[in-house]
Amino acid sequence: MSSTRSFLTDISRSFCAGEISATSRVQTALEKVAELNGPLGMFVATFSESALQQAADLDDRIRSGYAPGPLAGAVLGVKDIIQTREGPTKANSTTLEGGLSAQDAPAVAALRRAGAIVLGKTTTSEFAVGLPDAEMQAQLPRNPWRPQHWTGGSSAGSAGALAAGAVHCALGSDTGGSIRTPAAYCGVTGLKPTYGLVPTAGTIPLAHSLDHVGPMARSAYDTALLLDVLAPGPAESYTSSLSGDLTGLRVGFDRLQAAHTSAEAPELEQVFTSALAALEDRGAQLTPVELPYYHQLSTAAMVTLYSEALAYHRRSLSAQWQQYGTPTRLALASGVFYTGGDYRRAQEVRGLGAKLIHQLFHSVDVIVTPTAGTAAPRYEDLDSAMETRLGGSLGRVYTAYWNALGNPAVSVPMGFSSDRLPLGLQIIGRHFDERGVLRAADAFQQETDWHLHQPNGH
Amino acid sequence: MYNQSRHHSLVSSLLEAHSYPSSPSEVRLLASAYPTARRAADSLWQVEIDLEETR
Repeated sequence: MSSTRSFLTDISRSFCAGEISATSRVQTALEKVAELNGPLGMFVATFSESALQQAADLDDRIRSGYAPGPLAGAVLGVKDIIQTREGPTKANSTTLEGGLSAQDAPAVAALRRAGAIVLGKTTTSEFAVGLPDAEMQAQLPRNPWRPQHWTGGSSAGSAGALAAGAVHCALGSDTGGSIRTPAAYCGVTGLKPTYGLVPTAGTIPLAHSLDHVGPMARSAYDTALLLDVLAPGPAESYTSSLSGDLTGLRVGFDRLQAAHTSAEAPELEQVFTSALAALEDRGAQLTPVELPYYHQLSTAAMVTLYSEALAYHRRSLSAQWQQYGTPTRLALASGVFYTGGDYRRAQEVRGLGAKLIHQLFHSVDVIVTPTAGTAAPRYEDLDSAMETRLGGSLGRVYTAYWNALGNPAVSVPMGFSSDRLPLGLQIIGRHFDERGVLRAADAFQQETDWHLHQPNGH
Repeated sequence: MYNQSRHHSLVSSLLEAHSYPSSPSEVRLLASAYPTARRAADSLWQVEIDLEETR
C-alpha cells in the first residue's frame, strides 16, 4: 500500500516492523500539540499521560507477539461531544457542570480496540452548533492553512489537527455538514456515513433525526479503514472495494449554480471541472443532474435541526442563558421561529426528497457537487455567516441537503482557491453504499494529489 | 407580509414565552433574521406533495 494512499497502513506497518514505536508516535503528536495548539486551538483537552500509557501497553504487547489491530499506533482526536474514558465530555460548553461521564462511546471503543490511541478531545463549536465565540473560548479553532481563517465547523479541531499533522485520524459528527465542511476548508477527507450506520450512542445530540458520527482522515483509503472498524458488517470490507478503477461508474454532477454565482466563487467552476475530468480519466461516465428541490430540502434540514436542537436545550437554555456562548444561544433560540406545522412539513418534504433521490439513483451510481461554494471564510466575515444561519440557511455550504436525506457523503480535497485555501469535492451515494462513495473518492485521490498537500510548516 | 416592528415584538414575545432572558441587542439580531427564516420555512409549504405517494 502506497503511503500516498494510506497513511494509517504505513503507521501500522512501521509499528509492526518495529521501526517506530507507538510511544514515539504519541510523543511526536504531543510535541505538535504543544507547539500548535496555542495558535490553532485544535484541542480543548489532551490526555498525555493516558495516551503515553496506552502507547507503552501497545509497545509491550507487540514485543510479546500480540497481533495488533489495523489502527495500531495511530493517534486519534475525538470531538468533544463524543464520550471517551479519559475525561468528561463537555461539548466545549460551560453549561454542563462536570460534563458527561468518562466512558467510551461505542465508536471510540471500536477504534481503541483496533489499536488507535486517544490523544485528546478536539475543539467543537459549542454543542456542535453556532460559530466560534471569542468571548467564551480561550482558543479559537484556526485554519492551519491560514490562521486568519476559520476551520469550519463544527468538527473544527478534528479537521484542524489532521491538517496540522497533530493526529492521524479523528472522529467528528455531522448534523448539517459538520464533518464535511471543516474537511473541505482544511483540505482533509471526512465522511458522513448513511444515517444510522455508525452508532451515535455516547454523543451529545444536536438534532436526533440528522445526527451522524463519522471518520475523518487524510485520505479516502484511511477513511474506509476507519469505517471498517466503526461499522463492521457481514459484507466485504470497505477497503476491499477500493479498486482505483471507475470504469462504468455513472457519476451525476450538479455544479449547484443556482446556489452561488460565478462572481462569488470564481475559481470553483474551474477546480470542479478539473475534478470531473479526473474522475472521467479513471473511467467514470459523467452525466449532468439537477438535485431536486435543492433549496427546499436544505431548508427542511435547517428547520428540523433548529426545532430538534431547541427541544433538546429547551429548559437548560432558559435556566443557563448567560452560560451559553452568544452564537450558540442565538442559534438555538432561532428554533422558536418555527411552528409544529413547519416541523411536520419539513419531514414531509424530506419524505418527498427521499423518493425523488431514490429515483435519481436509478440513473447514476454516485453524485458529485462542490462541498462548499467558497474556501474557508475569514474570522472577520463570520458575523454575516451568523446572520445567514439565524435566517435558516448555511449559505454557500452544500451539505445539509444530504443530512435531510441521510445518504452517505464524503468530502475530499479537490484543489485550491486563488489565495491557496483548500476546496472540497462532495461525493454522495445511495443509502448504505459507502463502498461506492469511497471507491470514487479513493480513485480520485489516486488520480490527483490534492490530499497530499499540507499547510506550510506542518 | 412582514413588518419590522411587528416581527420585533413577535420575536420578543416568543423569547419571553420560552423564558429566555435575551438582551435588547439579541432580540434585535434575532428579529432581523426572522423574516428570512420565515420565508425559508414558508417555502416548504409551496412544495406540492402527494402524502399518499411519499408514505
